[in-house]
Amino acid sequence: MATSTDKNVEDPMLQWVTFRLDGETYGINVMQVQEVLRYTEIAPVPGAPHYVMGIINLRGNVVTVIDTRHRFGLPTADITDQTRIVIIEADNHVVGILVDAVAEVVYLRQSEIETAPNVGNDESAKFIQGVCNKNDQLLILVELDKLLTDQEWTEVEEI
Amino acid sequence: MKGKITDNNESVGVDESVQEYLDLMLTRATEDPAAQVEMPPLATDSSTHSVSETVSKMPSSSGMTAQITETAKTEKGMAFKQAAIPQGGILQETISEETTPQKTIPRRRRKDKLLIDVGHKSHEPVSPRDNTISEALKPIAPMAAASTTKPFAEPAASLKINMALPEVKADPQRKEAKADETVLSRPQVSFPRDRVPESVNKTPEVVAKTVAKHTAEPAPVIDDVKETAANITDAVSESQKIEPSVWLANGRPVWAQERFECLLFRVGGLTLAVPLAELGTIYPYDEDVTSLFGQIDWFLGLLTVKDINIRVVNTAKVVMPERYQETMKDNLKNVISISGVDWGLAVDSVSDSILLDPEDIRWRGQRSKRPWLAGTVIEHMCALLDVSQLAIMFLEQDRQRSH
Repeated sequence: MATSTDKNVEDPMLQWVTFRLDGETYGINVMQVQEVLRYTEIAPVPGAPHYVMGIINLRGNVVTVIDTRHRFGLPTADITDQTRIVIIEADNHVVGILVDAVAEVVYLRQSEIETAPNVGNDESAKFIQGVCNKNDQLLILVELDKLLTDQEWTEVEEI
Repeated sequence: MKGKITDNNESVGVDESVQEYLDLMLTRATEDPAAQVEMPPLATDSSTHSVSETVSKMPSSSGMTAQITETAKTEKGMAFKQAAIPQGGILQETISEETTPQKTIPRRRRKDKLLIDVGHKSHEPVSPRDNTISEALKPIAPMAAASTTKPFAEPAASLKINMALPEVKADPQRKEAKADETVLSRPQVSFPRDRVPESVNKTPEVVAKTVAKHTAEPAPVIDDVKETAANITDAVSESQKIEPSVWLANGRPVWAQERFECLLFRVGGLTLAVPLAELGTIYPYDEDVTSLFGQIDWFLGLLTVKDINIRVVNTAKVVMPERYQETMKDNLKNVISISGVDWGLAVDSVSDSILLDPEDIRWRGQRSKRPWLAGTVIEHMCALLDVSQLAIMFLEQDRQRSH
């Protein structure tokens, strides 16, 4: 007879930080989120890769901010009061990603997550880890570790 | 060592006499380190022992041939004559005539000598010539050693065995046979009796590999969220399987051998027909369709209906890419799901359902290009779609499922 503990082991509850981007709701692993910042002025870096918006000063530390819309192949949009910079840690790298708004932390069971279709040739499709229906809303779960390639991570570190 | 030496020198048994003979030979060898004696194999009939007969059967390899000048008898006691072993570098040993057990060396002394011979580190120093003693104590090499077969040589070509994993044959009597059930059986191999191929030794390894292959892997331990999130399963998608339409010799698919119902719909100014039996449900197309980035251009997004995510396809872009315009997307109103898969066709409008006779359709013979186009409905001048082929194309495009 399966106990509640066994069920948690077999179907663990995962926490995801959701944010809005181009009208869609995305989710990222809460363990990879360090903090959420209000939008601050991002200093552009000459010669930086096209997916880098610039750098910010975070308590004396220089943090590179990634253009998430550009990375996901989405059209550009204006900055609003809801715009946030989410500081994440991915693949042992700390960067910031620019999002339209940060929503909430949702709890999802592994069984609730479905695989997303992968019918595209675009490399950006690899970011999608899965989808989940929650509260009459479809969440697109993003795999941050695949946000950049190893070479791109190296380029970001050299900024 | 067996064999009794009685004080009154009484005769001993035949087997014991043979043993004593052997002991004597060994003793002679140990006493004289330069001696090398080739031990003839014992005769199967212990009652009589003819050394000459035995020697005649001995191989003449390496010049190690013992020539017994006289026949030895083992009925009572052992009577031996000189055994001359003419070969270079090997000292000859003469076997003195031994008629009574009295002349045998005491057992304990023989044991001590043997211990020295086998490398026992006793207090007695070992002379360099003792190396030959160990050589003398070596058993006669079998005839097979003369061959050039190496220990792990490859078997002859004629004896090579195909050690493929045993095939799983379905037992028709078992109705509930599992798909992953494997019968581990040793492959039937036939080879000449006079030769044993080394490849036979590989059989246990093959079986071991088979067993290891079918051994259940340990359940993964969920350490952190990353590993957990990576193991996402899609129970719905895994169960989706669609078979292509089977076309018969009359040039018609199986589902069109008799009258069948079709649903007419319009998309991008084009009227299309689909067999009603291959359709699922009609849903409204609205802003609830969630687009996913990085997808192919004819993929519109996901439509969530009752916890089911329908993958919506831009039908106009698929069937007439040369005439497609982006403004056509604005006219999409419905999504017609395909039976058996989580895919749906986005269309402008849905018309009536009609009953068609196979004769009312001009069927396509060659369908190498656009396999999803089954034919043309003559009366309505509209294209008839092979929905199963469309679904197969969608599933093949989904690279995750193809892995």
